[in-house]
Amino acid sequence: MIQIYHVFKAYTGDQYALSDVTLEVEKGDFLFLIGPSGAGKSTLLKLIFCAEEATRGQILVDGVNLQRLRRSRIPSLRRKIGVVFQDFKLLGDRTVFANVALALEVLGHPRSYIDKKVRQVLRLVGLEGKERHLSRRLSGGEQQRVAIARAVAADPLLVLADEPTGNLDEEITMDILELFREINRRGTTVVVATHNRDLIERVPGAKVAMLRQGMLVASGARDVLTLPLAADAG
Amino acid sequence: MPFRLTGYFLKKALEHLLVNPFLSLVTLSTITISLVIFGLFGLVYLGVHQLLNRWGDEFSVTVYLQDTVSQSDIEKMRSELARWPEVDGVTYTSKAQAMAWFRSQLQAYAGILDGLKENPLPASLDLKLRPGKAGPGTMDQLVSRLQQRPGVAEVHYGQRWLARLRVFMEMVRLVGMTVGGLLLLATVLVVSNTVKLTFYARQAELEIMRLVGATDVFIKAPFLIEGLLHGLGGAALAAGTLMLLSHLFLSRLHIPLRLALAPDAIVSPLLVAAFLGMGVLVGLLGSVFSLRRFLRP
Repeated sequence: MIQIYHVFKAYTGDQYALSDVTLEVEKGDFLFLIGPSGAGKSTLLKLIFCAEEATRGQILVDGVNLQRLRRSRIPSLRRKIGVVFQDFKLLGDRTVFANVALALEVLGHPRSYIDKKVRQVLRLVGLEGKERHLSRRLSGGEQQRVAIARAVAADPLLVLADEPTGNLDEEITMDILELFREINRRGTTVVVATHNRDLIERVPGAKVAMLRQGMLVASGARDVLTLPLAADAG
Repeated sequence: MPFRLTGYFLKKALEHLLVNPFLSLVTLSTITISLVIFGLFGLVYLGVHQLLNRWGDEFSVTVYLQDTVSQSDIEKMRSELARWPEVDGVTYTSKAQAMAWFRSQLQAYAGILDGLKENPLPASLDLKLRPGKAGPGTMDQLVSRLQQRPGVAEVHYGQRWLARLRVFMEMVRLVGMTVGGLLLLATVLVVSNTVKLTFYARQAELEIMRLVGATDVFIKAPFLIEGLLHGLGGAALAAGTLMLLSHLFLSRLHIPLRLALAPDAIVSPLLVAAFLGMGVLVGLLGSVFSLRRFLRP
């Protein structure tokens, strides 16, 4: 699903946010991208959904080489990817329905399809009956569910989540994580970037890639957790 | 573009207009006022042009003849001039007829003419021109051809009056184009600014739209329509205002002048359509300027 080959990313001069990262994510994988703040997790996700361009190296998403992707083709790539952020990125003055529907409206779907699909994904994330609520009136957990519903509404092949539980308490975090597992069970590849190692324990079979100071220090099945945790702090 | 997308874009554009209704109103008013001023210059220009054409048609050119010209030469000249394409008819006034007319004009003072040893008034040929042949260019040509003919002492027509009107018309055209051009440019900038503010107000939404795979066209279309609606609305209001103003103005004029101005010909459907087209253009240009600057990836 995702192939990353010797990718470097520098925002300014020779200060590299990512250095020589090589990583492969297979279709249907559930991957945790872990590492402390500033390790390069968000940068890597941004490269994958073309919010940033790699300075060097190659990234392929669903067989598409992002380095060769024309700007005008970025929207069609993004339609294959659902993105979830720590700060939800919802339109607070719009209803739950409107927030989710936006993802389908931009694809030009007819109203009847949008109505049906939005209700379906809101059922999936447990927000049935809250369609008409303004999103800013919802709790943090509910807002993140709306964001997840929006991310999966267009049936993407891949869901990227950048610290999706960063603003949520323990109980809600587990609910949200369960939601990602459900999405993954339905065949969608899921990549969750987090600094919270405890999450990994909750997803059996998940793969892990560990970044530190822009470099990939370990990747594979959960056994990478044998690495010293203290090294990740800070 | 599918019909439902057009409807979607239109709905979004209307939402944009309501993001800041006061700003939309100010923009609409600015476009209206600018176009009304521009239109006023246009109407004055067209009106004067119309007057020149209409009144020009009614001009007759008087050719005064030298006393030495024989009666047979006069007859020859008369029949020759009558064949000129721009001439509709030629009337001959002899020296004696001219004096009789002059005498009748003087009425009680006609006696002062009794002391004259000879009739000083020249014989003349009055040329009635065909409609549409009295335009500024053709008149000058005609007069110069007449002046070159042997036996012609002088050629008279409403030269000064026409020349003044032409200068005035040229002035209206120049001032109108300069002021109007500047106003239209300002209007484009106002629309551009309004669209820019809408863009800022909806930045969060645009960011999300990009994130979920909206194309550039999809993002830009409502902004273009927003500018278009501003331009169209302003132009429609301006056209209405101009029609009202011209009606009020014309109703105060004397009937002959009103008829000569031919208001139907000035505020014609074609002109209104051109006006609306100009509004659309101004609106679209405003949107395009703003989108070029602010919707870069």
